[in-house]
Amino acid sequence: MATRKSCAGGAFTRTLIRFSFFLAESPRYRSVKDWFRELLEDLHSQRKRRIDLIMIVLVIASVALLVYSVKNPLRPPLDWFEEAAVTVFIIEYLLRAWVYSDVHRVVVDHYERAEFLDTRFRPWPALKEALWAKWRYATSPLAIIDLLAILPSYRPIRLLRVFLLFRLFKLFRYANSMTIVAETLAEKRFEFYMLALFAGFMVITGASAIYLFEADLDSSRVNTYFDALYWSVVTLSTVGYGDITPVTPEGQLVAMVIIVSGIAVLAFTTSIVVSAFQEKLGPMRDYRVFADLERIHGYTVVCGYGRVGQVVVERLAQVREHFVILEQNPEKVRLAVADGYRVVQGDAASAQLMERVGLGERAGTVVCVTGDDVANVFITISARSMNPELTIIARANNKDVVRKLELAGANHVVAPFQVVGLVGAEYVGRPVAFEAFRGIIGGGSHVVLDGIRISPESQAVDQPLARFKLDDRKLVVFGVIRQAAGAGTDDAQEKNVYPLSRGRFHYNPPGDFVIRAHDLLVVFGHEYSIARFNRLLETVGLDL
Amino acid sequence: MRNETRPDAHRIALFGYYRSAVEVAAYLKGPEYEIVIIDDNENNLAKARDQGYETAKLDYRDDAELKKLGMHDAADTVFSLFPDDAENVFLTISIRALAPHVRIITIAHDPDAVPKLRAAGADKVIDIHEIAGRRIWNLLKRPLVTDLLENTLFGETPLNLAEVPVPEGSQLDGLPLHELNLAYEYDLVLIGVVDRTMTEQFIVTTEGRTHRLTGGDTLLVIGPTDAIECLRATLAG
Repeated sequence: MATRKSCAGGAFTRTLIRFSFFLAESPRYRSVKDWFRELLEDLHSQRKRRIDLIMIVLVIASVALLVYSVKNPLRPPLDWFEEAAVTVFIIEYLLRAWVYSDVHRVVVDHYERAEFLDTRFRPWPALKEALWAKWRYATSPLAIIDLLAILPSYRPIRLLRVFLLFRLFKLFRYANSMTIVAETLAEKRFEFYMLALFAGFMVITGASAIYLFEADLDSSRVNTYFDALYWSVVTLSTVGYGDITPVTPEGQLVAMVIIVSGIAVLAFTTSIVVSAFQEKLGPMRDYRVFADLERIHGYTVVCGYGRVGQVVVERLAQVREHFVILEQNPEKVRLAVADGYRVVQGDAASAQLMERVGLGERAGTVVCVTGDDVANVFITISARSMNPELTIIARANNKDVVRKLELAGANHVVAPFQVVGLVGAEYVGRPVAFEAFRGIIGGGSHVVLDGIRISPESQAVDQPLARFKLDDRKLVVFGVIRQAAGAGTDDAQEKNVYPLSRGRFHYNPPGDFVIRAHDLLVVFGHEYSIARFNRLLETVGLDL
Repeated sequence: MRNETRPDAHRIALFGYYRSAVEVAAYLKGPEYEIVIIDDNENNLAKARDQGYETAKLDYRDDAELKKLGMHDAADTVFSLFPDDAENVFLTISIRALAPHVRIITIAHDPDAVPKLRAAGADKVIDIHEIAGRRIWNLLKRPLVTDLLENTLFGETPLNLAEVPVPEGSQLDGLPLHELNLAYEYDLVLIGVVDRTMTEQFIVTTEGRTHRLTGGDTLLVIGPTDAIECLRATLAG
C-alpha cells in the first residue's frame, strides 16, 4: 500500500482518505465485514443456511400476522412482533447494502492511482463510483423486494399495506431452489414475451370489439371499457365466470375467437414452462451434486463413464465410497443417473467444472479414464496443478502416452492393452492357477492379497514377525514393505530385498524379522481373517 | 507350422496384429514360445516382421486356408485379437470347429460379447475394459500392494509366479499343506494347489491347510527363480 503523503485538499478530503486507509488496514473491520458477508452471501456457509431458515420463519409469521390483523386488532405482544420483524428486515437491508461493496476500497484505489500518476486526488469521482455500486445494489430486483417489504410499515404510507405481501417474495432470497425456478423461467424470456404480446393483443382486440358491439346496449352488462377488458381476460383465460356474457351474435362471435385463442395461449404457456424445466433438469441435478459434494471430503472424481469408468464406479459403489462422475456424453450421463450415481454432465477438462467438483480442496483421488488420450493428459495436468496432494490414476489408450501421463503428474497409469498382453501371456502357461491368482489379486474372490499397515502406536512395533502367529490366523506372509528406511535402521539381511518406487520390499521375511512402525505387512488370506487380524492390532495390540 | 527349432516349444498362433497383439507378442518373446502372427492386412504383417516375428498372410474367414496352414493340429494356443468383437467370434468358431482341443484366448471390447465368445468356444475371454477397471480399482484400494505386484511379480525382478507339479512318489506326495513349510525350506510362498483329482479345483493355502497332496497336484508358488528351479529339481528327484 502506498505511503500517505499529506495531501492537498480540504479537511473533508483528508478525513475521507485517512478514514478509508484506516478501514483498509484494520484487520478487525475486515474480519467483521467478512463475517457478515458469509452470513448473508456465502452460498456454502452453514451459518447462512441457519440465518435463512430464521428469516423464512420470520417472513411467514409476519405475513400470517398481517392476514390475522385484517379482522382482529393487534394487541401489544403481537404488535411488538411486527415492530421487531420490521427492525430485523431494516437491519438486514442495511447490512446487505453495506457488504455489497467496499466504499473505502474505491477511495483508496482512487487515491493510490492519483499518487501513482502524480495527479491530485479528487474525492467526488471516487465517492460517485462508490455510491454507484451501492445504487446498483439498491436497484437489484431482490433489494427492491426487500425495500417494498419494509416501506409499507411506515405509518404515513399505510395505504400500501398490500405491498407487505412482498415479504413473501423475500422467500426467494432464502431458498436457493426458488432462485433456480426463477432463473429457469427467465431463460424462456423471449417465448414468454412473444406469448404475452399475443395474449395482450387478443385481450385488447376482444375488449374493444365487445365494447363496440355491446357497450350501448341496455341488455348487455358491458358498460365501461374496464368491463370489456375484464370480460376479455376472463374469457381468454378460459375461466369464464359468466357474470358478463355477450348478448349479440357479433359479441358471441368475438367470444368464440377469444376462447379458441385462449386455449392456444394456455397450451403454449404450459409447453414453454415444461420445456424450460426439462432443459434445466441437468443443471438442477448438477447443482444438487455440487451441494452434496461440499459436505464431504476425500471423495473420488471419476472422469469418463465408459466401460472402464463403469467397472471402477461399480466397485466404489459396492463399498459405499463417495464419488462423482464427470461425463460429457448425455447418453452415458443418463446411464449413470439411472444407476443412481452422482454425475455431472460436462467437459472434465474444463477448469471451471474441476473447481466446482472441489478438485482443488476436497477431492482425494482423480480417476481419469476417458477414451481419449489427449483429454486424459489434459485432465491429469490440470488436476495436478490444482492440487499437488491428489492421487491421480490415469488410463493410457496408447503405449506412447504412458510416459506423458506420468510426466503430467499421474501417480499410476493403467494401459488396458498392455494389461491384456500381460494377462494373455500369463494365461498361456498356467491357466487354472493363473485364474485363481488373478482372482486373489484382482478381486472377485474372498481370498485376497492385502496390506496391513502397522501404526506407530501399535504394540506390534519392534516385535519379531514370529510373535504374530500368522500361521494360526490363517494368513500367509508374502513380505513387508518398508518405506524409505531411516538412517541406521538398515536391516542386515540383504537377501530377498527388492527396491520399490517408495521404500523396499522384504520378500518372505524370516521369523526373527523385526516389524517397525509404518511397515506394510503384505499378507494373503481370507478377507475376514485379514480384517480380524487388523482389528486385533488396532485394539488390543499383540497380547498373544 | 514351420521352422520347428525347439520341438518342445509352446506353439502359439496369434491372429490380428493390432494393439493387443503387439503387447501379447512382446510378453511371449522367448525361446519357450514359438509364435506365428497371422493377419490378412499386409501393413500389420510388415510391422510384425519388423519386430522379428514369423508371419503368415491368410484370409481367416476361409476354412480351407486355415486348414492349409495346419491350424487343425499345429498350434497349442490360438489368440484371436481383432479389434472387432464379431471377427473374434467368427474366428473362434472357425478354429474350434477345426481343432476341438486347441486352447483359444480372445479379447472382448463390449461386455455383451463375452458370453458369445464363450459360446463360440473360447477358453479364456479377456474383457479389456473390465480388466483395466479392476486394475484401477486395485490401485485405488491397495495402491502399495498393487504397485508391489507390478514391480516384482510382473516386473523385472527375479520374483516369479510359477506352477510346480508334484510327481507321484516324490517327497511331498501325501503331505498336508500346512506341513510343507516351503517358506523356510525353499524360500517360496505357497499360494495354493491345483488338485488334479478334483477336476482341477484350486485350493488356497490358508483355506485348505489339511489338504493332502497327491501325485499330479500342482503347487502354485511365488519366489525367486532359482528357488523355484531348486524345488522343481528336488521334486523331480
